[in-house]
Amino acid sequence: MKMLTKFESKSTRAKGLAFHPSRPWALVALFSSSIQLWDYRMGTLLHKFEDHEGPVRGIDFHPTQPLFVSAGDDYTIKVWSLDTKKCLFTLNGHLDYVRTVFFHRELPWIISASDDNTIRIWNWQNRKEIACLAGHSHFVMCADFHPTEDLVVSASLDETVRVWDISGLRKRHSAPSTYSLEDQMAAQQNLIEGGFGDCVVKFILEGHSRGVNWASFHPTLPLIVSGGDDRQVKLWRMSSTKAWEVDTCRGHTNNVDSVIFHPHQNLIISVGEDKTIRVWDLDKRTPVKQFKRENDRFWLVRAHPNINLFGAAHDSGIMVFKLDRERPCSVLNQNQLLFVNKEKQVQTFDYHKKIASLPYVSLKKIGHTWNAFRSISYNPSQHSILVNCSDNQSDKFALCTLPKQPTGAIEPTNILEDSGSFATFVARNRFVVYNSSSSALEVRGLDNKVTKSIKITGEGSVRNVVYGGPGSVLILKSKSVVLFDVQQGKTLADVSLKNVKYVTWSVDGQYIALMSKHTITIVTKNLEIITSMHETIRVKSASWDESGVLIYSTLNHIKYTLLNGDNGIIKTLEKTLYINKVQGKFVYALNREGEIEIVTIDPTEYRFKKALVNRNFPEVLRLIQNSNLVGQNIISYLQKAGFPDIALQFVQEPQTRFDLALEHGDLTVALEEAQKLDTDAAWEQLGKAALQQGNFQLVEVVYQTQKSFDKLSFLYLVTGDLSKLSKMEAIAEHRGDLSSLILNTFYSNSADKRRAVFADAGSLPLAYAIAKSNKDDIAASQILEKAGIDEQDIALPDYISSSAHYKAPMIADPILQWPLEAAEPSFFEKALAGGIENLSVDEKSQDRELDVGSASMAEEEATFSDEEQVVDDGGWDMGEEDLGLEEEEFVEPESVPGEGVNAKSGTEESELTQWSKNSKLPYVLIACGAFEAAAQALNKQAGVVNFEPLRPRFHEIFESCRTYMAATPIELPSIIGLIRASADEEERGKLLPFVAGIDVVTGKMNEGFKLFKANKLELAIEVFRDVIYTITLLAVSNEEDEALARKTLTKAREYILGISIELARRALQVEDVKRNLELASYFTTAKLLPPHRSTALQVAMSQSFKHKNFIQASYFAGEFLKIVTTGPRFDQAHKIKDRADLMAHDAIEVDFDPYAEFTICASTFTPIYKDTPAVTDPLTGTKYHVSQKGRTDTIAGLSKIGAPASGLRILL
Amino acid sequence: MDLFAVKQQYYTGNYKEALSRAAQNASESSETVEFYRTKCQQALGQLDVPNSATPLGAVFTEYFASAKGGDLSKLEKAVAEAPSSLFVVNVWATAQARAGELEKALKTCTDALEDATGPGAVELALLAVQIAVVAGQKVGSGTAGSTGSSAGARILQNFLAANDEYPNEDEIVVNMADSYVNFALGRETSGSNFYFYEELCQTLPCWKSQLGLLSLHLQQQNLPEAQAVVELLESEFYQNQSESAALYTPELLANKVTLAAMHGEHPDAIRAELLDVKPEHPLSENYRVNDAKFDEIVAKYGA
Repeated sequence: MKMLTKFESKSTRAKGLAFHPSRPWALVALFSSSIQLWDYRMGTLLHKFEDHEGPVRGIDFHPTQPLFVSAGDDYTIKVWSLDTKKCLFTLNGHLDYVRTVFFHRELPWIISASDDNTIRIWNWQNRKEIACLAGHSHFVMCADFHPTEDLVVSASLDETVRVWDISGLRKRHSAPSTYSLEDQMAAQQNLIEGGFGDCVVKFILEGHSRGVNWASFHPTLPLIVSGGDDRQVKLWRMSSTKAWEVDTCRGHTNNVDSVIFHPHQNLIISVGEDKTIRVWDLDKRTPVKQFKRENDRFWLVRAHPNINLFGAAHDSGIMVFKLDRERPCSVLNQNQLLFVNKEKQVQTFDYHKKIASLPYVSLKKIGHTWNAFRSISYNPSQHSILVNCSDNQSDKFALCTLPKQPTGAIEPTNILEDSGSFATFVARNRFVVYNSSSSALEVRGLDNKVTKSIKITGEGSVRNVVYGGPGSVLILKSKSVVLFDVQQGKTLADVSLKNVKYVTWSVDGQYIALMSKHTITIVTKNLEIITSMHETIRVKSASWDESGVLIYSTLNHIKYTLLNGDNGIIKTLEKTLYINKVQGKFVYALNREGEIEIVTIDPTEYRFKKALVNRNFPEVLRLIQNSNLVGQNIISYLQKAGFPDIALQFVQEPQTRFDLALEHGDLTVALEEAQKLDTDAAWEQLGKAALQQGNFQLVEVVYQTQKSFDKLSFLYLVTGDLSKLSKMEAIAEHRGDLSSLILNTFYSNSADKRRAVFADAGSLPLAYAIAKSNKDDIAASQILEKAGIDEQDIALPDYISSSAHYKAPMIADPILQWPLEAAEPSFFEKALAGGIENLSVDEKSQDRELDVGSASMAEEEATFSDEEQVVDDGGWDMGEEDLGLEEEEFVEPESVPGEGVNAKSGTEESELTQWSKNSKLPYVLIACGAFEAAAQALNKQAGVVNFEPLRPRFHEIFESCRTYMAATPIELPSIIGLIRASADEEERGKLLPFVAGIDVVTGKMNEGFKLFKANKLELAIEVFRDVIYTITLLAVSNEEDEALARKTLTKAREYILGISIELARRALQVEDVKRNLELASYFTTAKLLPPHRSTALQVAMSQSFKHKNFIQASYFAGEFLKIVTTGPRFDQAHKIKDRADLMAHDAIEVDFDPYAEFTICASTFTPIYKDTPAVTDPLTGTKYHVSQKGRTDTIAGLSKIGAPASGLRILL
Repeated sequence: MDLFAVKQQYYTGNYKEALSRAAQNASESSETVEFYRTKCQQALGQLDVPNSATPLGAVFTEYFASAKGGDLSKLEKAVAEAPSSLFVVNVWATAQARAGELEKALKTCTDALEDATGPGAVELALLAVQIAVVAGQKVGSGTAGSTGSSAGARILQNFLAANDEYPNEDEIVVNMADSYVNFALGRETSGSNFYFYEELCQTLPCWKSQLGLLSLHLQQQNLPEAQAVVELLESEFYQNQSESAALYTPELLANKVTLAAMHGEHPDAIRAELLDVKPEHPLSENYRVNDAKFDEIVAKYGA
């Protein structure tokens, strides 16, 4: 057993402690007068409640309401609201320190124990004291309700434990409506009198020799445990009439202050002023474990009401802890999880079938009863497990061979136990054990013999050793992780990481996730760090999905991380789960009860991010199109990750689209959105962006829209667009905007205009100056004249430069584009711009794994898959002839052959001897190489004489049960391994060669159907013959398969017969109408599957109708309509039938009477009427006229018609 | 001297890697190093004349000469002249086996193996095991106690009984021998023999180990897995390993024939390719023998 500390608070002396029933909160009552509320999961102090004067001792959460109660040395009991964090009210009444307070689990009651020698019960709803239990003759140190019965237990310094019966109190106070008024009056009276009679002492337990500090009821059994200043823990049992002391647990070296029962296990937990927490075995009353603090006396221990947590209050705070690990041991093996359940039984879980097996064995006897196993390791070769556990002193391991089949929790028969740590298999015949005393890694064989011992040197202690690939281990040290090759005894790689606890390998073995309490580090298989992340909540487990995304669980979340460190939450968990496999959207995990839970997650987000990171844009596109990825979250992610172009795909809202488009530099979209937005800010931004990209046309549009005339002018100037520039001048003039006009005259270097403007505006001096500087003396004199001034009156500047600063543009045409930022469209844009259909977006790629189950279901489905709707002709061209139906609406079915159909186009002597001993079927004989014997058997059984067609089959059977392995060196001949029907067959009497199953036959049959449907009759015949060859040389293991095989043989025969007749018909001369009609009729007698028979019927119907054999046509149409019940073919047949019935005569007499019993001779294609002599083919069962006897069967071409034969045997 | 890596690589068919590891031991003038070095060079097709003047080198020279169609007498002479060494015996027995004299080769091995320990013993044991197995499987061989897989198993047992403690580096050799015996006898097909190859494929994935895994999958009728291995070996990565591809393609073809036949498909094209590239392959030999048998059947019943 191990104490796993989950949280510690540092404060002054803590006297009381309470766990919230559902949230991760703990209340701490401090000696310093305050009450703390902690989130023990996050380790944060949530609130401090200060209202008590003096030490607070008792504290309790209400089981369901947002309330808690406290009590202390100020004699008061206070009830607080968790919502408002305020004291709701105070219960006064005790006359001395109040030691403990507890809520009743169902009634609105509070019980308190006080130094005033009393126990009081209060109703917190009406805030009244309803009972005062007097009887103790000294301080009452503790009092609590029984969890289910109307009892109270109390402990007092008077050296007694008392059990009180409060059933009277319940009667009186819990259901007043059932009482009469008198009763209620009496109850009131009673209360006034102190409630005597409602609460009576049931038992007084005497035995402690000093004051008793604590007493607790057992949650389910009639037991009480108490602890006192005599340093003893005492166990008491009670019946309905008496109570007695059972035993004493001695060991504490100072006062025992608090003691409780473990809520689920048969354990007692006590704490005391000797600074220890001690755990005792309830059944044996022996110490199981003790934990000591250096300096702090313990005052209280409490169990969490719902989860497996304990809390203890001591001199400098509290600690929250767990007794022993709750993580069920498990190990992955191929498509199975091997795990140890709560009862320490080994089970497997099959990920395909999604079911857990029965237990294989019970491991209860391995290790210490109260200690959970540390880890297990599995050896698939030996079907055994290594179990790591510890007793109180040292680590141990056990090697346990599992039974082949799970039959229940039996005791394992074959167990090898030894001391040593972290036993782990490293190969099919070796495991390693760490010997901590010698700091050596020992390599051991399956017999536990040490074959090698390797000293592990270097800094840091070894914390664990786990599988590190074949022949290697990962040594988890306190400060590093080392990849160690056990075979060569050398370190392959190491990485400095502290306190790594768990390790998960990626599916392809390329990456490892190394987990410590709060950190996950992903490294390569050579321990090079890829990424690392910190979690505030404890990391519990992880597993890689098939695509290399790490899915991990913390105490309360399932999260993911990509190799680049991108991570996020997938799901919130109510209970902690230990993930062991992720497959598509299924997360497989073990819960703390040791059961498998399958959690469905939505993998879209991480797949999307992963596709982005890998720039797998087809996948990105597929996800965008096929899933509902939306939300600000994904947009901001995309923006941050540098994919504004993709983010654009998710947004409708113009402003966001505009921003994203600008960020991405997509001016077209930006313009579209700017037009929608039509705000100055948007236009301005767009203008800037367009300017940056040098897209002057767009800049122009923006400036025009914004009416930024001056900017426009300047734009035209810099781009050299003089004509537009002059227009701007005109516009400015038109607008009457003088300053703009002047600006334009500068840009266009029109001094005359400028002068005129100044002159018109009354600024004659400037106009004059312009004229002068441009040496336009005429204009200058005109101005002078206008102003009425003489030239001498004007003092011009001393120096006027006559040179023009204006430089005319060097280009002929204005610049329209000056691309400064290359805006190469992203792949994504290209894809969206129309290339989508060309992208090989594999729609199914991600979901393929999910289809495994359904695919396997499909495999088990009907033997013949050719059950498509009987609505079209497939490849059969039925319409080349005019049937002479006058009605216009009668439309010939048109189809092209093949259209619409997938036109698919040495052995170890003794074992061979054994095979042939075990079966004499031709198949087995061939597998053994005894070709002649097989031939002989076939000849006898089925009259086979023409073996040539079976040549490939003979070779294939022989070859299908032999595999070859290269020898060393390669120049030696390869070594042959036989392939058996069952690889693990051990009984020699059952050894048989591999047989390709009946599904090969059905597969071929389906291929034949397809060819038939596609009207590829020659090819179809070949395939159906192949079916007969395959069945002729088949071996099946059960009667069901045998029946199916024989049925299939008959079916193949019928198809060959039917197709042969049809081919013969097609080969006829056109004028041979009678024979044509006969063969068409015979074709319909072949026992084809309904959809195919309908084709034959349609041929016969059309031919008969066309040649005016209306009675026959009506018959065939009638038969046809029994099969085809809808669609155009149905309508056509219906019409034919109606019209044929009207005519009701046959033009040509043919040898076909649908109402007579006959079969068709497969050789002459003529009817063999019932009671006419006939011969049968021994292999295929085909009927022939007697004249054909002795010839070769035309169906399969193997056997002699009418030859004596014993019958084909195929059942093993 | 640590030949662990050399042997690991050699027996899993990574000859290049093995050779470079052997080169790290170049200063060593031991026969073991020379044996492995020469074997690797041979497998890589780098060798016409061994560049060694040692007795083993001389034997190898004659061995290669005989491989080009020469008779064995010169080699036999060179062997007789060389000082007694298990590696020399190994080369001699290999030559005999290659020439089809399996019984003689086996005798050569078993005679030398009696009480043999030290360098070369485990290699010779592996050879003996294979020769015994192959001899039993040879077309037309009778049932005999002295050859066959059981005989191979016995040889291995005897060797292990005599060599209780063999060096760590030889474990791969012993395992290889064990795996051949198991393979031929159909033992541990879904157990340790399968996991042996699976482990090899994980630690030292290459043509030879993958082919071994392929065979074990076939023996277990794991057809999709077998198909996956075939596809892997036909992938660019493996096809680009030209030396290995050349050496092992016939084995791949043979097993592809098996796989197709197990699927109920007609493997004629693949078989024809194998018959072309390696007519002496057991599958090719069996095919020819069986085909002749079949001709007789056709003639007999057709008449």
